[in-house]
Amino acid sequence: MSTPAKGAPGFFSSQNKRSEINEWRLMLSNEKEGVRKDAVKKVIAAMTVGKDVQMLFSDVVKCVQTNNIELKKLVYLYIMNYAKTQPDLAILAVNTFEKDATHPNPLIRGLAVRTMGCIRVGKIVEYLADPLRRAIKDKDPYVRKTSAVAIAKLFDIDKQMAIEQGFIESLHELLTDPNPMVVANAVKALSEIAENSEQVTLDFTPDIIRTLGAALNECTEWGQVFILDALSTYNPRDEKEALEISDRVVPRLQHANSAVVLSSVKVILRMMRWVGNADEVKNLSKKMSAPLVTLLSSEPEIQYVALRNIDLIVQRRPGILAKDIKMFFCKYNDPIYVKLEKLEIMIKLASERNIDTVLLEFKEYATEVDVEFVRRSVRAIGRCAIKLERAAQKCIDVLLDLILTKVNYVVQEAIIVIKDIFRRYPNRYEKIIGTLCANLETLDEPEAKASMIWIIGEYAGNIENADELLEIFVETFHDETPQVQLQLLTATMKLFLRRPEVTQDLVKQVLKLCTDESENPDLRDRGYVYWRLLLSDPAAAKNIVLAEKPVISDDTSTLPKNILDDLINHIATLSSVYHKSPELFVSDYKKKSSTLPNRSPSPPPSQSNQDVFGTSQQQLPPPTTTTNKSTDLLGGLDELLGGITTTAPIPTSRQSHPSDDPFGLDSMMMPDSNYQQSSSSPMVKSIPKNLLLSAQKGQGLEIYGAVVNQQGSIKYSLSLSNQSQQTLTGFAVKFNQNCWGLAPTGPLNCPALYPGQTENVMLPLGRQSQANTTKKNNILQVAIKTPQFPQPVYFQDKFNMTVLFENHGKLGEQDFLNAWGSLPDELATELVPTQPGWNKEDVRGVLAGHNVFYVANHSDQTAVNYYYSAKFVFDGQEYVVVMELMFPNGSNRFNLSVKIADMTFAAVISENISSLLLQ
Amino acid sequence: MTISQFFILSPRGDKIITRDYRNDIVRGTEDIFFRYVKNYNGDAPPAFNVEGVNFFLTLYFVITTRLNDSPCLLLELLTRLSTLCKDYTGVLSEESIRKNFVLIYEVLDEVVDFGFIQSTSTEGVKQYVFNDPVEVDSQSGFLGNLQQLSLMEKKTIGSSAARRPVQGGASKKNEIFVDILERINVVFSAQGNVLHSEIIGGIVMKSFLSGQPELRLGLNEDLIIGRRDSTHGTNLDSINFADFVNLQQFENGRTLSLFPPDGEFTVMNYRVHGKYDLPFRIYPYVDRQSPYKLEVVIKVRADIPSSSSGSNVVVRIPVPKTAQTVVCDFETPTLPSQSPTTAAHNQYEYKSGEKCVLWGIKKFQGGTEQIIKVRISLAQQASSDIEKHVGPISMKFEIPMHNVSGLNVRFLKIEEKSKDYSPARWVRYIAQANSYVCRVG
Repeated sequence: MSTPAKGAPGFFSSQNKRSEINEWRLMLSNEKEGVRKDAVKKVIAAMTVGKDVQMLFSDVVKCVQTNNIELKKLVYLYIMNYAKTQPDLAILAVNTFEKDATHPNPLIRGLAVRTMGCIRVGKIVEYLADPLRRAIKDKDPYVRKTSAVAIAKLFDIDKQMAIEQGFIESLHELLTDPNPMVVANAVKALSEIAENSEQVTLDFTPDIIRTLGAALNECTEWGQVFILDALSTYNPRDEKEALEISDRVVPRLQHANSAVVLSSVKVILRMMRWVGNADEVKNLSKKMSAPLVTLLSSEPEIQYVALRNIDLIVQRRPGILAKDIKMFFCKYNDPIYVKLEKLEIMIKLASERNIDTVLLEFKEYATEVDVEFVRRSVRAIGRCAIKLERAAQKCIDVLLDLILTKVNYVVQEAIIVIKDIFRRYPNRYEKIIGTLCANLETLDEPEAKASMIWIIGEYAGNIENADELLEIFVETFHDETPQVQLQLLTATMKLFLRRPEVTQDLVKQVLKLCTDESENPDLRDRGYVYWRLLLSDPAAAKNIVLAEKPVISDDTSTLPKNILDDLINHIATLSSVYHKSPELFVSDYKKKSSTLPNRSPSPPPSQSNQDVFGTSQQQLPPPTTTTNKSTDLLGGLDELLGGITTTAPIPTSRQSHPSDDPFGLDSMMMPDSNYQQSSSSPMVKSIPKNLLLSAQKGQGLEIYGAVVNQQGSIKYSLSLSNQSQQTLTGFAVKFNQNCWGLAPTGPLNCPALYPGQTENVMLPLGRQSQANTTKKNNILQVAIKTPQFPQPVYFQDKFNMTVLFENHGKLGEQDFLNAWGSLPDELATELVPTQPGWNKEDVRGVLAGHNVFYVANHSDQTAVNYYYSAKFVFDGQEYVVVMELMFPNGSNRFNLSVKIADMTFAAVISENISSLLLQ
Repeated sequence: MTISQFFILSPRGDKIITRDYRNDIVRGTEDIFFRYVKNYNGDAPPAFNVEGVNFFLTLYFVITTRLNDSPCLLLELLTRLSTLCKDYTGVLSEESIRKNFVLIYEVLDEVVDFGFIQSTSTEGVKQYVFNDPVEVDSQSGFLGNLQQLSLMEKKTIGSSAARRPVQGGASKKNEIFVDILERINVVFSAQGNVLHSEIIGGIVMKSFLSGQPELRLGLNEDLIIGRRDSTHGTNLDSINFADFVNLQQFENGRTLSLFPPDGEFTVMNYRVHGKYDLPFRIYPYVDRQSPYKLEVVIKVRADIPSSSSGSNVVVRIPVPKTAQTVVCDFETPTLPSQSPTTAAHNQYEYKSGEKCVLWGIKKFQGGTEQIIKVRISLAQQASSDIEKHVGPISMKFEIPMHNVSGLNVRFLKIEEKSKDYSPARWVRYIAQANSYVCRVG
């Protein structure tokens, strides 16, 4: 061992570069190992600070011929640096790597494979494959674990090659390795590959899941996180398995590493969806609460992450932490970002039981130093008032107390929230207006001013000197922001309509200011609208401006259901910290789980403006969140009608729809999705899901679905959506006898559906002994029941017969001609494509995806003909279908002719194929 | 878990160490990072995203990733990395990192491969690391205050005595340090009632034992976990353990067994909420003597055995913004047990900028009381709620060899056959104020 390098800081001085390089070069070829080592160290030091030491490459690489591991590692460090920036240079050292990959020392073997993987250039692949294959089978776990990572690297360089050479299978094999570290790396590598590739999916079998569960206990903490994250993508077969997995994971909650704890929470939350038994759910919830709270005693950074996650968890399952609200009280030395998160959670957990304590806390916070925190605390009080009707009075009392402190920003913030409280509970607390008005002069922020003006306008009838108050603001009209000006205009209108006799001058003045002197188009427009209203129909003006406003509720930080569902699946990831879906910030996030096209256009956001004005307020557009930029139109309307842009927005009642939940468990099979099955054949269009059961008929259960053929296995792709008020669990399914003998071969594996939730499931189907062969149709009659329904619900589905076509239905040309000739009858249909962008070139691809095979084509001057064949089995007998597609030249229409021995099938086949073609 | 880059920056933003694991991020991220943090209004949140690059920081240990990864994992990793660097270099300072950069690179390559975390235990990495550490004299460094760069401020005050690298180094003393640290969070109301109280505790070890012997750590047998209602015994609300702790005898014998890894590590963390004896009680009293004069009297009582005492006690008393002059007096305590000299340990400082009084008591003996009278003259007539502008009073202290929760180490056995193997064992208890607050008015 050499002596520690003296004067190490000297490495960083850069004088006389030339001679330095030459000196190092000499040192690198010195016969003493110690000298060579020092030289490499110096070179690396220079490299670290950004000096160019490329010219020493060959000299450094020479030093790798040594048995001194320390020196070897240093050389590797050097090469690895250039491996990234100068791969062509690094590849020169490839012979050394190949040799080292068979070195007796496992450390060197591992190192060689690792370094090779870092050389990111296509050429490396051919050199890497063999050593890597050996490394996978190496007897030393260090080498094997390195090889798992190397596969991920290889995949990153050359996807196709990694798949073709069977390295993905090797990874699957490594999942059952006796060494837990190897398992963890294999899981991680596989997860990453699956995330970046369409061809590879994380399909864990229950056996693998069991192996992973077992490895969980022996891994390092990091390995545990890898495995837990993989487990959280798994769909258990049934409640029993879900509980088994949960039981395995529960002990991890007591881990000191917060990442392990959060990932465990993620797995358990996911498994809980399959658990119908209320006691079990309660039990699991209880087990999670203490560990979650414990996360709050970690470093503030971890606390922040934990709090962002807890915020999501309390939205989904408030019960878990309902009793622990005190744990979220802010400490005076918490960093501000932790405090603000705690406030949010306190508001979410506030209830009539604990409101007194909570208010006391908020009041205390409102006297702290940090202005932002104080403001948010004041706002929190208002939000509690809006959330808890019975506690509203208490909250208002606290706010009034705070106004008495006369601290400027506290007062302004209090007025802003009180305005929201007025909107939530109209005509209930006008008594306090006097106190508010006393603070009029101190207001200097636009939002506070606007709020105050709104309050004056709204309660103009009760405030005797309302006109005087408003005049104060009118004096400085030109100095105000548009927000204040707009409010002032509306408030003056309200006042005028209530007390026309005394305020005529004021309203004229304001209207003039808005229309003549303002340059703000919004202000001018609104001014004109009011003006014209007054001129044409004062009664209508009254109806509109003084109309009753819709009541608001607080959901400032409540996420829409579908986003929450998505984020809950992403607990313990960055997305749970940003509260954004990963595709919004991960640049190349895998497409298959990203947003999918909507099934049907959403209803128009509102009636036309004219409509709104002409009718009473019952027909007002639904109130809408103002935090959402896209709904500004409505926010504006609401305001025009005398409301105000509130900070506590109003939830829109969302009609849940299968496509509202684009992130369901089985997002592969979305209705109308062009992505569907795109991995196997990109041209294939899926069979669209139809509405099978409406919510009215299905006691609140809405089902969309279609029978599909996935690589030979027939499945019922269903979207179940719960529109009732109760949680639905324990689904069971039964088919009526049908001529095809189709019946489920497994249970309907659908997790518990919360109200409003949608889940996509695949029900495997099989063909059993046939019954009822007299009637040949494609109708399925299905019954679904859950313990929550008094009786089962029924629906009927006409499935697309092509799913039953065999995958060997291709006929030779001669066979086809024979078949065509021997069959006498044919059923011809004329088809008219209506879809824009329909292209006859796509036809072949579309049909091939459904086991309808192209045989030949024939074109003459009048038309182009395509010939197709298919086969299916019915009642133990194989049927051949032959088809002709004729595209007459110069016409958009085309003809489909179907021939089959038993022509009773022809109608159905023709219909089904047409529907595929015209999609 | 897929880490793109790791870097350590000096407080001036220079890169000391950078490691790019995946090459999927443009160069210059450290500058982007540094600019973002410097320009951030206040404390930047620990994780943020700039144009698709997610940054994680604990001080200037920075990780970047492009994917949707587990933030806790990355933050934990940063903490681990800083511990590792400390373990390998003895102290964590800019100088020690610079001098040992080759070693750190070697460590980094073992810890993370292609962005996947491999192993972070000091002894796990040790077998793959060959460079010798360069020892840095912890006192001399021209950036001695860079101690702050360490994350060690976190939950412990570090296992003190042992500032030497785990590997190499001159001294080969066989010893192990065990700290039982408790941080106390309390909120008192003005009436002296406890509104909220909580202990966050942990057992932290630093091991320099040779040969990795098995350790057995016995805790008190009356330990009760997770049952808030039980009245006797020592109650802990929740506990968690490090990876390597064997819990087989925990349920019955309350004994943990472990093969201590090298370096500093946490064995277990625990949390207690609710009933236990608080070490200090604070009684504030605000007296309005005239419209322009205010007297705040604060009595602090140490409810700890007289054999223990609090050290470095600082009480922070914010006064109204309108305060013009502030004068303090110390009352001679009336308790018979108290020697009159104790008052001499008292001193105060008035920070006119922050409008607060800092009252320092060097040694606060158990069973005694200290009283301060703060006389404030106001620039304006006192408003009706002037009491609300005093406080909240916060307190900092450290009580060596005192333990609030009642958790004890009954024994610490080192299972080694040979007789002449008798390493030194150091066990100490420390109770510390984390957020110890009393509200006024």
